[in-house]
Amino acid sequence: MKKNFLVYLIIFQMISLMVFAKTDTLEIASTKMNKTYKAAVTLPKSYENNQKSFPVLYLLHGGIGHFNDWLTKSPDKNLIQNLADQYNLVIVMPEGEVFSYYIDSPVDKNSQFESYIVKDVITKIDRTYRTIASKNGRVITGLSMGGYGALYLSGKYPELFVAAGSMSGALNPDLQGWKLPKEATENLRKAFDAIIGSYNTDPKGYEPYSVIAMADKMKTNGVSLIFDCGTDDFLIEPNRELHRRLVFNNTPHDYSERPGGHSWPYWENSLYFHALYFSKILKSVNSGKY
Amino acid sequence: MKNAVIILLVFACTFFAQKVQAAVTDTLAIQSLAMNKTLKAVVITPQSYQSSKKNYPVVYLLHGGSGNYKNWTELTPDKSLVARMADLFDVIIVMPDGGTSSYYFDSPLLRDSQYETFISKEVREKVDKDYRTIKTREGRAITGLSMGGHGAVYIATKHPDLYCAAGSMSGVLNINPSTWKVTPDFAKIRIDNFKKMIGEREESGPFYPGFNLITMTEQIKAAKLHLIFDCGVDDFLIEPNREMHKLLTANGTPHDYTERPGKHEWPYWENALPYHLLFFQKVLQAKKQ
Repeated sequence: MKKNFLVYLIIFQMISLMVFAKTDTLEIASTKMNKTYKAAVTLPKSYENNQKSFPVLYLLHGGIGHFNDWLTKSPDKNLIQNLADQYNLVIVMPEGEVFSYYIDSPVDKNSQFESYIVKDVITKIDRTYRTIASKNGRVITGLSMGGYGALYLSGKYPELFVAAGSMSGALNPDLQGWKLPKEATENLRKAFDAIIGSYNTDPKGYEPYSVIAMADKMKTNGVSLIFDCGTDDFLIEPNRELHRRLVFNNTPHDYSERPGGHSWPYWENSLYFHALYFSKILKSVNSGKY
Repeated sequence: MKNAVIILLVFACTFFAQKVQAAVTDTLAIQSLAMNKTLKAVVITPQSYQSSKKNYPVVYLLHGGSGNYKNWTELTPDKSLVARMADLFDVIIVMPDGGTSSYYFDSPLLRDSQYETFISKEVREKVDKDYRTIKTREGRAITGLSMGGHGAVYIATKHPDLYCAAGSMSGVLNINPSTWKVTPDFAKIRIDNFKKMIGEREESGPFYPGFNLITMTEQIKAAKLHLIFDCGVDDFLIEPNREMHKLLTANGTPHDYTERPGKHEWPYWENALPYHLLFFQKVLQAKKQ
């Protein structure tokens, strides 16, 4: 009897998973790179049952990562579906390659992920799904390189996003304040040189790519901001510096420091707080519409 | 036939009533033997409480200075905030009275100001007796605003056997008014109040060590609490909060610290509370598994 019950329970669980869990993998072509990349899209349970339009959370992965990281590397494999369900969000996880920093590289024409995200991905998503296809329906966040990407893209294209976040963000490609061993720093320097150009030859050329240097732009943009970093993270100092600048120039933002380093348990925990933050903003700007 | 329709209607109504059933709000009168008086507390049980048999975690939510037990249900811009939070996070939320300027201390001088004992013993025992609660530290968290933020962390630090988590919103984490951005008149009122409750102090030494959280960072560390605190960047208490964050980072006490837009007012606390409950839920849940 007990055994039967267990079997039924397992079958029921499997059916409910099939019915409710909904993550698509889309092929999204890049016009600039002449190449197609994958994106994962998780729909909330409520998506099927009504005709409403849904807000979209763009969720970016980190360096040496890929589009499906958030689904496969977080300790809780249901994290993304649970948050999509809880907050009625479409969650889009696009590709950003192993070291694109989500910029249009001035030196490598095969690394043009800024245009890819803000043009190709957003257009495809708004065409494929019932989305609130405007600034008030879009938020963006990410981890490490993806935290940089979210703040950089929303800073440069404030007309596209109502709110943006960063977890353990790698905010400054000039590497100032990154607490890393010499060898790791040199390797990163080479990697950044390959997408931005030689730092030693032209350090000024890095300024447009520093999210920390965008503090005044963020103030005029009015995009709602949330970012955080673990106190044991090698990126804690650049995050503190951005917070200091935004406090100094009176840009409203939420800034948190938490226990932890540059790791998935940290990001899994952090994403809950970002989702809560975004849901409050989306509710207030879309009152009654979603 | 007519009867059948009526029965059907009654059924439908009952069904509907169950559907819309929400959090239940009680007001308890709690006798304090320590203070020889009776004080009130608002208790909100979540929607699921009525129809389940399980035991629930309890979040104690403290009010600020010049406040009372009804503040959290009456002064938030959205009056349904705490009830919604109880439902959303499936916890019992208890809002006890803490007096107008008690700082949740057991005053060595004033018999009728024994709020550490009231909150940590008398309220807790009453709530654990009257409700289906998880009666261990893993089932209890405590937070509050301003004086109540100080109170929550102070009480949990002194009773780590009773609470697994503590929070503070815009908390008075340094009770020395010279660290607050306030007028000299207001500072003097508070200093006189501490003198009345705790006694004269040596001008040169630290400000009421043992009563003042900023002097208790090693005790906070030893309490091994899950700790969350935050403050608005335009709050008159932002500097003591920054100082506490610095000290706890330096001595290796794990904690979540957040700065947000806003000042010492209800819209800030309404916004902050859901983050505290999210934090507690993760901790209380992790303990449950």
